[in-house]
This record gives sequence, structure tokens and C-alpha cells, in this order.
Amino acid sequence: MLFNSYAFIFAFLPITFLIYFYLNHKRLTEASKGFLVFSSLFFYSWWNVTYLPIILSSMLFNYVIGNSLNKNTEGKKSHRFSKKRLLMFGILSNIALLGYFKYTNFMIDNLNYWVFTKDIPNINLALPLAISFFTFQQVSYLVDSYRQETKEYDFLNYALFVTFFPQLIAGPIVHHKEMMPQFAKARNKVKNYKNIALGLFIFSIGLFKKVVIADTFDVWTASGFDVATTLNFFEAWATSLSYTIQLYFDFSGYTDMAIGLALLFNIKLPINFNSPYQATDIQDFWRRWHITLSRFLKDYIYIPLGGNRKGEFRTYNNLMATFIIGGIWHGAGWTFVFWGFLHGSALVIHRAWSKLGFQLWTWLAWFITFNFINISWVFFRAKEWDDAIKVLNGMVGLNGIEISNNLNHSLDFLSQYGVTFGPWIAAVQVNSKGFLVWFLFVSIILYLKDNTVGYSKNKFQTSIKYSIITSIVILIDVFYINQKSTFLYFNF
Amino acid sequence: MNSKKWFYTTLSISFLSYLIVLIVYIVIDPEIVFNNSLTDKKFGYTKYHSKYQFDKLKSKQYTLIFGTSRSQKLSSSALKRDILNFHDIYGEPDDILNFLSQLNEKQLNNIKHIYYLISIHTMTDEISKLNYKSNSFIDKLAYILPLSSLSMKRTLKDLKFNFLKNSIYYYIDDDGSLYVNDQNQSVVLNKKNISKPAINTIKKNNSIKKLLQVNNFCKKNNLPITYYTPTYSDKFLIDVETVNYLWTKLLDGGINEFYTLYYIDGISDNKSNNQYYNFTNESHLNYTTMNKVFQDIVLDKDNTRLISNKDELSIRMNTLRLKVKNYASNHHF
Repeated sequence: MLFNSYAFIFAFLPITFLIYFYLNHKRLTEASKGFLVFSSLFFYSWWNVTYLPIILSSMLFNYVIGNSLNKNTEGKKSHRFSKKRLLMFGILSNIALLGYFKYTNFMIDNLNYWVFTKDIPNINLALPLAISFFTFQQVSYLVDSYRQETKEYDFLNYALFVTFFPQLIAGPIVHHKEMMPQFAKARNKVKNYKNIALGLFIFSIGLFKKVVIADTFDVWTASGFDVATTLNFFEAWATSLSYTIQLYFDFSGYTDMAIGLALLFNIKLPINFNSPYQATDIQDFWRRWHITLSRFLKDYIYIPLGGNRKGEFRTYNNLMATFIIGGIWHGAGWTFVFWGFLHGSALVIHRAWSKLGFQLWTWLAWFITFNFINISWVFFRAKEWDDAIKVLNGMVGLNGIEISNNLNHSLDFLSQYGVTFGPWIAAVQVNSKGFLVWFLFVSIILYLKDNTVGYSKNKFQTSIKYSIITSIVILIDVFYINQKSTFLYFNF
Repeated sequence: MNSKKWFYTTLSISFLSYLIVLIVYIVIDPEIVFNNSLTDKKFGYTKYHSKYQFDKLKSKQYTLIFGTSRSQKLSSSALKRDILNFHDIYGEPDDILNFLSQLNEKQLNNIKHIYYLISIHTMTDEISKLNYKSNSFIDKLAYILPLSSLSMKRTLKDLKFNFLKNSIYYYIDDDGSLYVNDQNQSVVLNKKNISKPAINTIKKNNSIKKLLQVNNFCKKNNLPITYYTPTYSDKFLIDVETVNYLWTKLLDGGINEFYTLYYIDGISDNKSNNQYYNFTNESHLNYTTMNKVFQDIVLDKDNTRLISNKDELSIRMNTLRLKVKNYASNHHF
């Protein structure tokens, strides 16, 4: 079920909300939790019920391993060794599950290409929804259990931690210690209108980001990447910028909705975006973009690899390894690996640059960072290498520069330098004026001082002004909902 | 106000706003569902250009051309007759019927002849908008709900056109083509992105039914109408069996004859290095060829291309199958 669907907004959400608080009101706490788990699994199964056994078995497996790891065996060296093996078994099993569904065909394709002369047929596998997210979340649970940082929870509580529907499909990736105490708090079991009001406001803004902004840019992104055979300079930039904008508004929109929805149930999810396109260096970017993934990569990959504690060269290696893993986590393809490599390299360069004490003007630092991110997203979006090369060729002007017919009279002299005139950014199938208006509108939003959550917490008031603003946003959202589209991060 | 009051106020304002928008939509009725609009809206939300052609027919006799796109307009000067190109409504039978059925007797008498280009899109695209179960208000309401952003845009267009008529400048030139003084609406077909028409929706739509209704309307009102097909390059000749199915349906449905211009030797295959000399792209003839082909075959009644029964259709289809086969073998399909 999609957050941006009538079924979710007008049926699933109100029913779940009302029954959950009704059960709590009747002091049926366990039943309310059970109901929330059931609803979340229903929400998950709405796409494809065949995925349900996968998530259930994964939960059960990790719960058993986690509980075993959590048992206090302090001081027993032989036990600690076996715990380590148990942890490794748990992690490898999770990776094997993820690897089987996500990377088998990728491996087969590569074996076919590099090793065998005969084609091994691909396996008919559909990627279970959210598998990357719930696997990472549960791996972090296992590691924390090994570190004795978890308490013993019953399976119902654990299932709620994994399946809680606002964050189940595409995060934020949460720690058990962020979630479990909140589910346990007695005052969170009663309706809190302050949270409900704030949740509604944040949800409506998130929905607006998705259905109005991201989906509008999606049309142009798809035209440029998937339909056009060649792109000239402006078309290529319009394509890449469209995707840069779409991805941010799609994913941060989803996260805002998740945060807003969780608030309706008195649960506070961690912030996942903090105006990332305002970053002035690549490290700054990763502190602002998909923050909970960055946190996971740092805590469970970068630091265990040695972090920055084992010398400068090893630090660079660790950074690179972490981001290549991050790249392949997003998708089974060399373009994702390359995207991870690009970001790893950028972080290495940034670290070396900072060590040397160099500094750039803020605006130049922002300009370089933004353009690097914009270019790297080309690899992230391209289905094939050729698509990425097509867009990049256009961006550097290899396919010519075509200026709008309207400027033909005043800029005619440019034609002697190979500049041509025609319908501007036609390959992106967009009217140029419309694109510019949208681009301007979105640029203003991107560079506002506050992000949605920050703004909501600092500025939002239960006043008539905000009531009207929220109503208008809801009204616009409802008109746009019928353009059904999934979220980009559902693919990862 | 407190949070609880704020929450219920916000939901109430949202609900009331939606209700107001819904009422405005029903009153304006841009999709002509309720037939009681406060605005003029004779031609619906996207076809408001037709009003200009509608007015032209009040004063003078014209030959009407339906089904041609913006890049396939016919020329009054080239064909030596007064033409009105309806490229703004293409070949959509729904819209054509809507237009014709609103003409008064004088306007009908001013139609000298109708030429209707019937492409695959005309017969297969899911364009029927008036698909509600019955004429009851509830069914119509269920049909339009939930309102979409598109519904809103249509409402605003309707309002803009009917109340602010001079906000966009339209004119019909001497060649019978309608122009809009707004460059965004005069974008030509993008040559880079032409793809083959989607034919998957065939057999589950009622476009042919609507097309036959246009035919019946013309018969009933003694309007002379001639059908003809578009011309494609050999590269664009697609599923011949689909074409066969559709053309058979036309004959079965009461369209007595039509000219097949689908493949023309010396034009459809007139190419070098994959560049077709008579086409702007694989599926659109250029201006000069379009007018010439229309004159030579349709106006001059080239009977070798006229299909008036299934035997003639069968012969024609066999020729087409051969062309497709030849093209495929030459291009290693």
C-alpha cells in the first residue's frame, strides 16, 4: 500500500489509528501492539502477499539469534567466542538472504560476461519489498545484542520494532533503542493531539513533496534518461537536474510522511534529511542526506573496519570500502558500484584536502559539491552505462547546444559557433517555460533555511493560519494523489 | 487554539474546500458530464479551439479535415478549396461527434465535404471520457470522483476560455489551420522521440463504435464523408493483422469505402541511409507530399486504393504483409 494512495489515506490509516487507540483506551495494551503489527503486515502484504513469509521468517530468525546473543555471559571466554560465531552466523544469514534476492542475477550476469562462454539463465526472482531496509535494521539489532546494548524483548515487541508501517518500507533505519522505549511508554498509548496536529502537518508537506514536486520532475527525468536517444546541452542538464530534484523530494517526502505518520501514534522517528543540497562539502552532504543510512554505514561498517584509528591510508581504504558497500546496497548493478566509488573517492579527496588545510569560498565549495552530487546521481539513475554516458555527453556539450527559437533573432551570431536554434529542451518533453517555473520554485524550497521537520518543530503553531495552510496543502495533495507512482527508494 | 480544535478545524476546512471545488467543477462541468454548465463550454476542456472553426462555418462553405495532426495539415491553396483543418481534435470520434452534433442547419449546409483520416490511434486509443454507468446524477458523480489535478486544470481552462476569451490569441489562417499565439501550444512533434503506436489496448475500447456513430450522423444529415488512412514509411509498418482487424471492423460497421494510403511505393520506401525523403519522421509525411498524396489519391479518386469490400481488403492486406516481410528480411528481424 502506498502512502500516496486513497486506500491508505482514507481507509487504512484512519481505521488503524482508531482501533489502535481504542484498544489502548480499553487498556488492552498487548492487543493494541498485536493489532499494530497485524496492520503493518497487512500494509506490507498489500503489494504482494508472497513476501510475507520472507519477512516473518527473517524476523523470527533474528529474534532468536538476537535473544541468544543478548544473554549475559560476561567473563566466559569460551562462550564469548561462540557468541561471536553466532553473531557472524546471524549477519551472514541476513546477507545471504539479501544477496540471494538482490544480487543473484547480477552475479549470474557477471559470470556469464566475464567467465563463461555459455549463458547461465537468470533466476526468476522478484525483490521482496523493503528487504534492504529490514535486513539492515535487523543486522544492527544483532550487533547491538552482541554488544549487550539491547534488552530482552518479547517477539511481539520485536515484531513491532521491525514492521511498524511508517518506517517499514524505506526507513528511516531505526535502532531498537530509539523505538522500543517509545512503544513501552504509558503516555504514548493515549491520543496526543499536539503530536497528531504536528504529524498531520508534516505528513501533508511530505505528500506534497512526493505527489506534486517529485512526480512532476519524474516525467522529465524519464524522458531524458529512458526515451530520448540523444540529449543536447540544455536537455542533458534539465534531465540530470530533474532527477536530482526528483530523488530528493521523493525520498525526503516519503521520510516526512513516515515521520508524520509515526507522530500520529506518538512515536518520534529520527530525522533523515537536513537540506542536503545546501552542503558545502561531501562529508557535510552525507551528514544531511539519508542520515540514518549514513549512521548505519558508520556504526556497523566504517568503525568495525577500523574507522580512522589505524592510520591515514587505512582510513582512506575504509571510506572507500564503506561507500562501495553503500553503493551496492542501493542496487545490484555496476552503475551503483561506480556511484559508491565516486562518493568514496570524493570523501578521500575531501579528507586529504582538509588535512592540508586548504579552504574554498563557501559559494564555490557549495557549487562544486552540488555539481558533483548532480553528476554522480546520473550513474545512480541510469539503467545502463550507455544511458549515463548519453546524459554526461550532453552535459559537456558533445551533442551540441540548442537554444530556444525565441532567441533566434537576438543570438543569431552564435550559429557560426555551432549553436543551433529549436524547440528548447524538447527531448525532455516539457514546455520550457513550465520547466523554468518549476525549477525556480523548487530551488527556492531547496535553499530555505529550515527543512520540513525543523520548520515544523520550530515554527509550526496550532493557529488558524497554519490550519488554512495545511488545508490548502491537503487539498492540493488529494488532487494529485491519483497519479499513482511508487517511491524511488522502494527499488533499493 | 488548542491542538484538538486545530486538528478538527483543519480537517473540516479541508473537507469543505473539497466540497466547494467539487461544486465549482459540477457547475463549470468542463468534461461535459452533467450538461448544465454555467459557462459556454460547447467543446469541452481541451477542444476549445473548435469554437473558432464552429464560428467560421456560420458564414461560408468549407471542406472539413478530421484526423490530421498538427504536422499533417492540408492546405487550402494547395488543394484549391476552402479547408478547415481540425488538427486540434485530431481524429477522436467523440470530439468530432460532439462538434458536428452542435452545428445548426445553416452550419451543416456549409459543410461541403468531410475528409476523415482514420489512423490506428483513432480506432484504438482509450479516449472515451463519458463512461459513466447511467445518466443518474450519482453515477455521474461517481464517474468524476475523485477529482484530479487534471480536472482542476480543465476547469480553469474552461473558465479562462469562456470568461477571458481574449487571453490567448487564436486565428485561422488562409490555409484553414488554426494557430495559437502561444508558443507552448505550437510545439511541433519531437523528431527524436517518435515511437511505434501502442496497440495493446485494442479490442477493449469503443472508439470504433464512436467512429461508426460519426458515420451514421453524416448519413442522417446527408453530409458527404470520405475516409482515408495515413501513409507510413516502411519502417513504421507495424502489426498488419491489427490493421486488418480494424479495417474489417469498419467495413462490417457500415463504412462503405475508404482509401488506403498506408503504404505507397516510391514514397514509403523512398530513403537513403535510413532518411526518408518524403517524411518528417517515420510516421508523418512532409507538407508537400501530404498535399500531393491527398490530391492524387483521395481528391482525384484513385480507385486502385479504394477498399469497398472484404475481397479488396484481403488483396490489399496481402500486399502489406509482403511489404512488412520484405522490410523485415532486409533488416534482419
